[in-house]
Amino acid sequence: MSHFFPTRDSDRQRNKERGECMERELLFDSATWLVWLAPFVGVLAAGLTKRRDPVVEGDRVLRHDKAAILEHWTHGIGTAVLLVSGIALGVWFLPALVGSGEPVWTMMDVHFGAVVVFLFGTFYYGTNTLLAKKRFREHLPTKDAIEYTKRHYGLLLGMKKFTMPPERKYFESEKMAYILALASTSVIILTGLIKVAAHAIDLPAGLLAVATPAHDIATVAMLAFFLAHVFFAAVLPMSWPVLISMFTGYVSLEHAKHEHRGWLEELGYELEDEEPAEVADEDSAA
Amino acid sequence: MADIDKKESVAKAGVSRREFFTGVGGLGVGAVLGGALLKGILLPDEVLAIPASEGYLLVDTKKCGGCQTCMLTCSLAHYGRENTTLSRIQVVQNSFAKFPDDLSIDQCRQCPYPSCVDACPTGAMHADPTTGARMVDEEKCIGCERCVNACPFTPSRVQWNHEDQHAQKCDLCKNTPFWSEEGGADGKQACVEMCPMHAITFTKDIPVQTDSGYETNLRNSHWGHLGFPVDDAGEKMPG
Amino acid sequence: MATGGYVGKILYVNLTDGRIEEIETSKYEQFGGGHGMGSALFWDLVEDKTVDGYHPDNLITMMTSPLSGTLVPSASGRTECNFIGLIAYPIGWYTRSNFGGRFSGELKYAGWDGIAIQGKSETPVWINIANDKVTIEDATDLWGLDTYETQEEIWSTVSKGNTDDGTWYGVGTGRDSGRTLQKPAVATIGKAGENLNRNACILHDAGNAAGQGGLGGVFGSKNLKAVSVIGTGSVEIADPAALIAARKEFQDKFAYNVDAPEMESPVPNFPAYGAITLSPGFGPLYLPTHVPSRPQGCIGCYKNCRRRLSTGVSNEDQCVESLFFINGSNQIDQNKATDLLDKAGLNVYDVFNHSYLYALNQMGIMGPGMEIESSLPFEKYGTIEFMEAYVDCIINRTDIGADLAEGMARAAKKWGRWEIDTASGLLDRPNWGFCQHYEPRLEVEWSYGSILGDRDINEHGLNFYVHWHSIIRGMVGQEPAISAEDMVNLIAEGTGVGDPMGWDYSEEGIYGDPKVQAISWHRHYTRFWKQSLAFCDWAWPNFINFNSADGDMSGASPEFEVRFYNAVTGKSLTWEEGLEIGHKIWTLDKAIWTLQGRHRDLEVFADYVYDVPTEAPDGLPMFIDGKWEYNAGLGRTLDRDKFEDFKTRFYANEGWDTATGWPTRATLEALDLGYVADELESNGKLGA
Repeated sequence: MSHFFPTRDSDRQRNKERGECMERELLFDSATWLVWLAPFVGVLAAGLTKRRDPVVEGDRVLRHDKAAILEHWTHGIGTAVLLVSGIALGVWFLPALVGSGEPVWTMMDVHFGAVVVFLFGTFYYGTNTLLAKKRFREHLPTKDAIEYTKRHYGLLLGMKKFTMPPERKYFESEKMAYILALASTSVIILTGLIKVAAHAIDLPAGLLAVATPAHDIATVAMLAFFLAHVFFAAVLPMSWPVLISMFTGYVSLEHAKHEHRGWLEELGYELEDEEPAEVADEDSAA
Repeated sequence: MADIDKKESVAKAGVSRREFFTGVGGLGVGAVLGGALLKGILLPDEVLAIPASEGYLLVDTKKCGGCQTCMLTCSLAHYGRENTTLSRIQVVQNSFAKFPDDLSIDQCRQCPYPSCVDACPTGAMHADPTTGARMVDEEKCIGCERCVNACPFTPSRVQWNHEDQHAQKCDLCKNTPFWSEEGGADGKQACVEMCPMHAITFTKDIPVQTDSGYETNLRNSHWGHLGFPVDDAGEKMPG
Repeated sequence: MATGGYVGKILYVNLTDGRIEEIETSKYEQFGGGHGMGSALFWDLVEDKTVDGYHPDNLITMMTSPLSGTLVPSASGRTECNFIGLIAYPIGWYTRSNFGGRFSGELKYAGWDGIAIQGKSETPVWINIANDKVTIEDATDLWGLDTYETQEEIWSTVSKGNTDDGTWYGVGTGRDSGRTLQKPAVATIGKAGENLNRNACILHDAGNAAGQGGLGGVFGSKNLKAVSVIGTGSVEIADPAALIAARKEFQDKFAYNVDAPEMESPVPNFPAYGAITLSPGFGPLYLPTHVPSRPQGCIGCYKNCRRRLSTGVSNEDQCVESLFFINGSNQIDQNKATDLLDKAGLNVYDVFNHSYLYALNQMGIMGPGMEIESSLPFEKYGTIEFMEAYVDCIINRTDIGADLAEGMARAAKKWGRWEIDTASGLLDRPNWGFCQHYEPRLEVEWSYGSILGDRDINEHGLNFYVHWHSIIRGMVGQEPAISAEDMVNLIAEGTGVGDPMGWDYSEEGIYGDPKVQAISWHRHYTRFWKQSLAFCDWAWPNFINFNSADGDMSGASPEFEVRFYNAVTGKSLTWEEGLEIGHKIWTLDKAIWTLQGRHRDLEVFADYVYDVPTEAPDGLPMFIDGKWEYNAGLGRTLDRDKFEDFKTRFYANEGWDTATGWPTRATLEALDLGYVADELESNGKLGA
C-alpha cells in the first residue's frame, strides 16, 4: 500500500491528477461582497425606476410594465436556480444528489450566482412595492377571499354551479398564495444571509443551528409554492395569455373582460352589462 | 398616466420616499464597494493564530491486529451507532499483502498548521479553545467539504458525515456523548482505551512532523515472546 | 423500547429468474439471527426439503446477527451459512458453516441482516451489493480466477480503483450515500467450486473460509462465482454507553494483556499456548513461526488469532488449515501448501487425510499399476511438490482427483475401501464421512454432537478447556493451571447445568444422565449463542479466566453474552431463554434432517470408534475412584449398547421420539413450531 503518510506535495500532485483542485475558492468566500451589494443595487434601481400603471390601450390592456417584468424574472429565475442547486446539495433530511468535492463546489457556486440575482430581484421588487403601496395592497387578500377562491377552484375543477367572480387584477386565490410566498421568501433571505454572514464573521453555533434547518424548511415551502405557481401559470393552457404578458406586458381586452372584471372597473373601463363567461380559465399565482 | 404614489408620498420633511430609497440604495452600494476595495487593497490577508493541539494520537501499525475495534469504538462513542465509515480513525488493510505493508492506520495528526481549519469558510472547523484539538462545530458546517480536501494526507483525515451531513474529524474524544468516560486532550480517548493490542497511544508532546513522527514502537519483550518482531522496522524475529 | 442490532431486511436473490427481493427481518427475529434465521428461512422457502445439494431449489443463507458489525468482542465478524450440503456421507444433510472476517459487518452496514440465494443462473454471475443497490453481474471474466485474484478484481471494480491506492470512494452516486476506505467484502469460490467439488469452500479475504458441507460446490452449481458487499450505513445500538463499558470491563478482566500478561508461555514463540491464555496470533497452533508477522483478527475481535506474514503467504490462516502440511520440513513450504487450498477454494478438512493416501500407496494398493491406479508422486510425499500435485488433481478432477473431488468418503467407497478402512481406523472418519477432529471415544460432546447433528461440529468452546488446557501445559512441562475438579465446577456453574458430572469423560461418565444434560446444553448453546448470535467459536464461551489478575478464575460467561446482547438490542433476554431458542432451532434442524431421511438407526459411528481402542493420550477431566483427574483415556472404545441407550435418553430429553429420533408434535408445538409438525406429519415422519 502506497499511502503511508504521504507528503503534502505528493498529495497535491495526486489531487491535481484526479482533476481536483485544492486551491479552489468558493464564490461564497471570494465574492461574498456581491451578496451584500445585490440588495442595495436592487433598492437603488427601484429608486431610479419610473413605473407605468396598467391602462387599457385599444383592444389590449397593459398588465405589467418593464420593471414588473424585470423584478418577476430576476426573482423567479433566481428562485428556480436556488431551488435546483439547493436541492442538489441536500435539503433537510433529503440526501444530496451530487458527489463529494468538485460537484459540491460547482453547485455551491451556482447557488451563489442565483443568490445574487435573486437578492437583486427581490429587493428591487420590495422597494418598488414600498414606493407604491397600492401594488402591495392589490396583492393582499380581501374579505372576498374565501368565497372567490371557492368559486375559482370550483370552476377550475369543472363544477358548473360556480360562476366567475368579478376578480380584480389578481385572483383572491393568488393573493393567498402571495402571503405564503412572502413568508417563505422572507425566511429564506433572513436565514440565507445569516449563513452567508458566517463566511465573514464568527457567529454563534446556536444561531446557525436554527438558521440552517429553517432555511431548509422554508425551501420546502418555497418549492411547493414554486411548483404550484409554474403549474398554474405556465403549464395550464388557460394561463398562457397571462404568461405571455409577463414577456410582452399586455393581455387582450377580451381576456380581461372575462376574468378580471373588477380590475377593468378600477381602471375606469366601461363594462357592458354582460354575464362573466363560465370558463375555467386561469392565470393563478403571483 | 401620472404616478399616483408620488402625490401620496411626498414626505413632510421634504424628502420623498423615493428619494429616501434611492439614497439608501446608493449609500449601500457605495459602502459595500468601498469596503470590499478597502479590504482588498489595504488589509493584508488574515493571519490565523491557531493554538497547538494539546494532544496527539500515536500508533504502532506493526502491532495493530486489524480488528477495527478502534473504529467501532469511535463511531459508537461519538454517534451511538456502529458505522466504520463514520469512524475518525481508519484502519485500511489488504489481506493479501506482506506484513508490515498490509495495513495502515490513518489517524488525524492534529497538525500545528491545520489546513482543514484554514480552509473552513465559516469557522466550523476550529481549534478547541481549551484543548486545541482541531474539531468541527457541526452546527456551523455548511457542507462545502473544503476541509475534507484541504487535509494534506491521503486518505483525508477529515470526512463528510453523510448521515448527519457535516464534516467530522478526530476531536481526541472531546465530544463523545455516548461514552461515560471523560474524553478530550485532558481526558481519555476511546480508541486508545479499547485497542486490544495496545497499538494506539496518546501524547501531549508535539510529534516530529515527519512520517515517522506519528508512528511509534509500542512492542515490548512480551510481544516478542509471542513470536512477533519488536524492532522498529518489524523486520527481525525476536531472540 | 429502544431497539438495535438488526437493520431490518433480508436480501432474497433468485438466480434462475433474476428476482431481487426484500424480506422483513422482524418476521424471523424470534430466531435471533444467523443459523436460526437461516433455518427458518430455509423451512419457508424450500418446498421440497429432500432435494440434492446441487439442485437449483437449494437455498444458501448467509446470515449476520444483531451483534455483527458492533463492538461486541469476537461476535462481530462471523457470517453463518446454511444450505443442503454435498459432502456428508451417505446423505448430504442440510448443514451449516460459518466464516469470519469483515463480511458480516459490511452486510449490516449495507443495510441487510442476511442474504438468501436460490435458483441457478444460466451463465456465471456474481452478486454485487452496494448499500441498497443489488445487481447480478456477469462473471464470465472472473470464472477461472483463483479466490485471491477474484477478490482483487472485484475490489477494483466496485471501488473504481480507489482501494488500490487507499483513497475514499463513494458507494453511491450522491455524496450522502457515503464514502468508505474499506474494500468490499467478497466471498468467492475458486476452481474447486467451479468444478462442483463436494469439498469446495467459499473464501473471504485471505483466510476466512466456510468449508464444511461443500458450500463452494453449491455456489458452483448455481453458477455463482462470488458475493460482494460494501456498506456505509449505520447499525443502531440500543444502549451505546453500556456496550462500551461492558466491552472495556470484559477486556480488562478477561483478555490477554499483550504488554504485561498475567500468564504467558514458559517458552517463547509457542503460539498454541494462546489456546489457554487467548494471546494474539495463536492460530497456527503448535507451529512456531519463523517469519515476522502481525496478529490479525476479524472485525471487532479482542483476541486476533491469525497472523499476516512478511512473506504474504498463508495470511490469516489458522487451525487445521495451518496444519494441512504439518509433515512439511519448513514453514515456507507449510504455508505455501495452505495457500494452495485457499486459492483453489478447497476445504482443508476433507483433503486433510493425504497420509491415508500415502498409507494406501505404502500398502501397495494405490499407485502406478496398483489396484487404485494413480500417478501422484508418492515418492515425493512430504515435499511441497507432492502437495501441489495432490491439490492440483483434486481441483482439476484428474487422476484420483476425479474421485477425491467427490469427497474422501465417497472416493473410499468407490475404491472399495470405505468399510474396511473405517473399521480399522486407517481412515478415521467417525461421523457422516467427516474427518476425525477430536477423539470420538473420549471427547464425546464433540462426537455425540456430530453424529446427532449433520457434520463435524467444530465447536471449540469447551474443547479449549477440557482437551487443550492440560495437554498444552504438559507440552511445555507445566502442571495444569487449574485442577480438573475446579475446571468442571466452573464449567457446570457457567453453563447453568449445575452438575459437574456432565463433564466427566470417564468410561462411565460418557454415558451418564449428567452427560445427557451436558450434551443437550451444548447443542442448545451453540445453536443459539454461537451459531445464531455469531459469538465466535474460538472466543466463547468464557468459563475459566486464565488471565485473572486477582486469582478468581471464574469466567465471563454467561454474564457477558447476555449483557452484550441486551446492550445492543435493548431487549432483556436471559441466558436460559437463549438456550430455549437454541432448543427450538436444534429441533427445527432435526425436522429438516428427518425429512431428508434421518432415523436413529443412521446415527451410529464408524466401526473403529466401537472396536478399536484409543492409542494417543488425551488429557480430559475424569472422575475416577471418587476423584477428579486429567486422564489420558488410553485403550478406550465406545460401547454400542451403552451409546444406543444414551441416544434413547437424549431423544427423550429433547422431546423427540425415542424409537425414531424424530421430533414429536407436542415438542414442536411447545416450541411454537406447529407448522413444522404439520409438514412432518403429512410426510409420515412425525415422532410418536
